[in-house]
Amino acid sequence: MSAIPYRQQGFAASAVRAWVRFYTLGLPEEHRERRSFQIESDLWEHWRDRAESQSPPLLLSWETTDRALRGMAADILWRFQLEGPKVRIHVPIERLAGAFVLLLILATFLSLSANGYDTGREGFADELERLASIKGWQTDVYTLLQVGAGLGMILSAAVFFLQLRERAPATAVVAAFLMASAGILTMVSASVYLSAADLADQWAADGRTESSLTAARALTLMLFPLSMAIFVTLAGAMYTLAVAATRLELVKHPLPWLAAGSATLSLATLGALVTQFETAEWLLVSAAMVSMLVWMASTGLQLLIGGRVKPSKAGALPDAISPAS
Amino acid sequence: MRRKPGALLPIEVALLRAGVALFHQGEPEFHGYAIARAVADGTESRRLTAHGTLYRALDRLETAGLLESTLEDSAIAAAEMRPRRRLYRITAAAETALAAIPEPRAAPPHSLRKGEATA
Repeated sequence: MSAIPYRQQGFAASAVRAWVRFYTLGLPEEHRERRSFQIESDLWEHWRDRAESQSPPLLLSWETTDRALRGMAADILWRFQLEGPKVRIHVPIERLAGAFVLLLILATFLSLSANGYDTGREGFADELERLASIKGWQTDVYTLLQVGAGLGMILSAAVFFLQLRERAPATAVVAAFLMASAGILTMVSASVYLSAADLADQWAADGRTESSLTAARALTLMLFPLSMAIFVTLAGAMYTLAVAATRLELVKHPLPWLAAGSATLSLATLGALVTQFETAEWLLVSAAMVSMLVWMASTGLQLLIGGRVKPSKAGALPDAISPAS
Repeated sequence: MRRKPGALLPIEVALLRAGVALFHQGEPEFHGYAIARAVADGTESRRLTAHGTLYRALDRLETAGLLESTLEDSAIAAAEMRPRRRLYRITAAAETALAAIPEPRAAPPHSLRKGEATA
């Protein structure tokens, strides 16, 4: 017998099983099961045949991979012929949405962390010195992560639009618009940060000229309002989703009080900004953000683990609905 | 190019011929891998038919009424500690269809090992 025990035939057999699961995804159970049985039996008989002839394990892996690769086109054709011209792939959109909400937590941190420079006229030279000391690859990685976060937000907007458009079209449009806006603003913020970092390098290289310092300061000054705009749009999108999650029973525990609390704190932050009550401003924005992130983590996990949602008792959401209501 | 209704592809003819050969060797029922092995043994390269090509062709032959298949009793598979096999059987229609197709001039002999098909 071969040195390879069955079920541990290695990567080749696992890859074949994964491929079968992939191209039969969404097919009626009878077709999935039939093909799965055919392949599982084939893998076993192939293993036994090679084990009996004392073939080297590598030959079995090679033959399995070769047979799977050569048959891929036929597998796809089989799928098309089975369903006719209309191929239905049931994407688990709720799980996808959950994964995106969880990813948005990371994206939120990334998109807001570019802010935080002392942009005061006196202390800015030190800030620029610090920015110039950051290695080029670190700046590139950070910028790429920010761009990724922005793209993630735009993709999330598409996913939530697809998920909600039939049951709550107005909510879907509002949430998708706000989330996509947050994504675009994040990418703008990334490019501003990259430009500021380039200017800092130039400033350090050409003898710390005043013109470079002024230009870099102008760019970093832009980062604060950009961060605020990202926070407002993202929070708006989340509160809209909170309304949808509660009304449409998207998750078992939608925690509306948490989202409502976060929305109230956000509004209070705006009040503190207007009255220039700085201590309260940071306290309120932090509390608003933490409660929003906790809501995102809870909802994201419930969507991801819960999978398909149960039908809504409340039915469709009314079109006229405000984000923080 | 669209194939004519009822026309058999070379792989389908090869599978049927191998199935008939197995039948004449006392193996009226065969599983997917056994037929792939039988076809491979009859070729110079001895290369096994790809998974997708093999099972798509077997499904087509079954739809055309040239093969019949049954899923093996789960108790048999469990007793032998292996996955259940789908067992195929050549129909009379297949023999008629094959008779209408001229034999290849120098068809290599099938060197099938007795007992491997459904053992």
